[in-house]
Amino acid sequence: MTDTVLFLLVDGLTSGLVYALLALSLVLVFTVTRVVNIAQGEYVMLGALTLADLLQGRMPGTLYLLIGGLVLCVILDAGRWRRDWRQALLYASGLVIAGVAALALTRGALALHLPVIGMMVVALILVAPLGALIYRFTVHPIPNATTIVFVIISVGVSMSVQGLGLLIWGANPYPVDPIAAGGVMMGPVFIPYQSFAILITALLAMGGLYLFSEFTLVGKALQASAMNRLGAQFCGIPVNAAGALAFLLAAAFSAVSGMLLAPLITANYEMGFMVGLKGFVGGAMGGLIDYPLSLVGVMIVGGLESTSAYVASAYRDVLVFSLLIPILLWRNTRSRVEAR
Amino acid sequence: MMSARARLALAASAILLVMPWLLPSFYVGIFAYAGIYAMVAVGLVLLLQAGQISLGQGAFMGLGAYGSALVARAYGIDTLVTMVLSVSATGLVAALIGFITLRLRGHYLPLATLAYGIALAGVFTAWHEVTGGASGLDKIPPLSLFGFALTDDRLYTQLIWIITLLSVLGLSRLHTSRTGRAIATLEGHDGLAQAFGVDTTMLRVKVFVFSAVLAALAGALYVHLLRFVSPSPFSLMTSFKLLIMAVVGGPMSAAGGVLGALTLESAQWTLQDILARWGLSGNLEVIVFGVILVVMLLKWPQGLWPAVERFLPKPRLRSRAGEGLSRTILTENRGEVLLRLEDIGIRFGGLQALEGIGMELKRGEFVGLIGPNGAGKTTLFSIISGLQRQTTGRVTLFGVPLPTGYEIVRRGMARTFQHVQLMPDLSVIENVALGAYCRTSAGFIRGLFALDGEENRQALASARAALERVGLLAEADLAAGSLPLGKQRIVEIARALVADPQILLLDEPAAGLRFSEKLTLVKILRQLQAEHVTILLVEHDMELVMGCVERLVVLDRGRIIAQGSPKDVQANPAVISAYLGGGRDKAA
Repeated sequence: MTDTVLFLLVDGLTSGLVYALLALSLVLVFTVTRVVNIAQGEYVMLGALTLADLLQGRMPGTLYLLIGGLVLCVILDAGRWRRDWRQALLYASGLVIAGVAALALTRGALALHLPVIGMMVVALILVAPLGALIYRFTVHPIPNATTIVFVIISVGVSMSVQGLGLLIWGANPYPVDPIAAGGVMMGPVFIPYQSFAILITALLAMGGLYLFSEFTLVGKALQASAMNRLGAQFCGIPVNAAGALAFLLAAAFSAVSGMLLAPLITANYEMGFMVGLKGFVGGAMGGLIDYPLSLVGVMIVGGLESTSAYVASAYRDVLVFSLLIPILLWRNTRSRVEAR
Repeated sequence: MMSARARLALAASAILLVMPWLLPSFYVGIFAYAGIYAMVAVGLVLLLQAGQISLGQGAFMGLGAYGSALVARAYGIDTLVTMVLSVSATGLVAALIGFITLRLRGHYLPLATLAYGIALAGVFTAWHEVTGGASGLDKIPPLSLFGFALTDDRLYTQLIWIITLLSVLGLSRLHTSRTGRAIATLEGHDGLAQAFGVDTTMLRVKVFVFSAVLAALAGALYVHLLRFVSPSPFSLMTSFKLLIMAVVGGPMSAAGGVLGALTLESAQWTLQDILARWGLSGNLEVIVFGVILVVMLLKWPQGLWPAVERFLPKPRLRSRAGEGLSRTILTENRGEVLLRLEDIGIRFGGLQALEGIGMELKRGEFVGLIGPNGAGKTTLFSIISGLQRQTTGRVTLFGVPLPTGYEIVRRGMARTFQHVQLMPDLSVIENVALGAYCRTSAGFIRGLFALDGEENRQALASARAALERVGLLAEADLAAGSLPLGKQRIVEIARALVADPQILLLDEPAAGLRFSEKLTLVKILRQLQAEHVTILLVEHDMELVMGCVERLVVLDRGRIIAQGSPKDVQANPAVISAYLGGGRDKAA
């Protein structure tokens, strides 16, 4: 009995930490840009599948997405050529260089057969900029739209990215190597090294984001945009750049969580969406604005998930998503603070 | 005599209703599904109009479908009865979800419906002793009543389209009704809605429940047409597709839902055809669907319907002739205290924004509230109009404590807004008619079934009379957003007058006005005063205030520093130092 409880605890903690990275991404994006990003989970999928490709020595399809996105960026910027061709040329050549650099980096990594951690870094460099590109395409053009419009847009992004994932990788699952195979017996429970890797990464990500926000100028600019967009703009903070940065960082956190999660399950084109939504259920606890409360939320989600997988496996997702109801009821009791 | 627009609508409906008999039998099914999706999309369009969205409409369809199918199959009850039961049950579930999410900020409803959709789809699959699991259940009875079954697919398809078109008709009626005007305020005008007596949470819940009921009805019709039930038609993908239909059609008109459904269904068939020809399998059309959704919202947030609307004749305006609602006779019984503030204080963290404020507003008085920037005028005004709660002290209105939110206007106190709050796309007269919300009663259902004719006429007639009173009758049918600021502010006054207030609160009505506009405003204010309306005016423009009011209350640094006639106040040294600075300490 104790063994089972301990096992469930470790299992719940592990998935809770994966969702924590997602919740971190969601809160970061929501506070800086007011976007409730339903598509956040897709970066999980992109991270996992990119890593799978790299580890098996294939050119990852993500590279084509990245280059396609950069090209689209240049096209959307066409209006600038007439106004200020020098700037536009600089911008376009910057994007071309970025594309070529990404290509060179990938080829180099494949030639060198980097270890898993090295490949993870390469995958991260390929996936994270996609976040900034999505921001450029879907949020930048309509900065003053309502939350509801952004929710619907992110649904569209999610559909398209998932569809592209299906087009590039097909419906088959891909196995992904863990950072280190095996694990240790701690008392009666076996804990895979991967779980430790997840714990360490989650702690590093949270600590890193905290230090970045509190002790760097860029981080403070990000915080300022989160607190008061217009005010930040008046202080000379380029809020669009802040939004793009938030999307980029969030994409990075989510992609890392995908790469860490993939060895425990397998990577496929559908894996991200549900992970993203479970991050939401946890994040709802903190109203998508409160980091510590979100962390509590995702831990509850992780715990409930592993328990229900054990007790009533068919109803696992049903139970996890029904958790939103008590969470919202609880938030209703605090609604004086957050009523419209 | 029918209007040109009504005849056109009738002709289009006739074509849609004859279609099932003209199409080859393979296409009849597709056309029936298009009608079912259109029914759900029409409900979603209403939700969009209220500034909300659901990502779980597919699940509401599923609940309606499974409820009716399982009960009918197990107990052999007439399916029309089981349909009514399952649709009502779905409505209850939606009400529950609505009540716990719609009091919170806007993004909780999409998240909650999304989670609910996934959870419910999970139940359909997992509970397979009852639902047949992922492979589903066959032998679902057809649509029937008293043993008569509807098994003819063409007739069934026609029935589906009749219901869809009737819901479009009903919602078009609702759009121009009392409830429709209130729904228009739900997107981004919460303060306004509450100030005119709209219980915004309740109205949002009603709209959400209505859209869920339409979805459940559509789901039940679907399952008795197919006579087979499985989880896949009610998945998240369906919810997303329905969302795209509503967005493609646009929130402008319920007919947009039908347009969106027909457009997307044809797009899907064409795309699948093309993809199959390229040898691609799977649901790759979702890539295009996602792009459509994003591009529509970026480029054409009003959807495709405005493109159709341009070619249509204007709809006939609803009657505004005859007598309006009765007006309270305001006697000249001056001296009775209507509004009393006792020792009001409010604290924001460490800042005491107001302290020890005591003042009275007597019947028939015209009082001005002035003070330099940061004196606390706006805060005090928010407390009086019920938007903010004081930390200490008491506000009494007509001798009883000030109620909260949407109840205030019913007690006879109406207001205008410093930042003009008009629905820019609605006509001036419709904006003004919102003022009658608290004095009329026709609700959602009466609006839907056009049972509000007389009352709506009275409300519009009152609005017309109010516009005449302020001299804007000529602009009655223009879009409110097209008027210059000065006229918009006067429209706000007209709207407040339609609420038949005994007290009128004016929040900086002259801010941003040109000289000639100010003159018009002063004329209107004097006229209202002559009609014995009690007025409390907050204003910066000293000349305007001095020229109008009988009594002034001067605030500085959160306290009242002077009260009295304009002449006395102008001579008061404390007031002079508050405005001109210098010697403040001596004066205090």
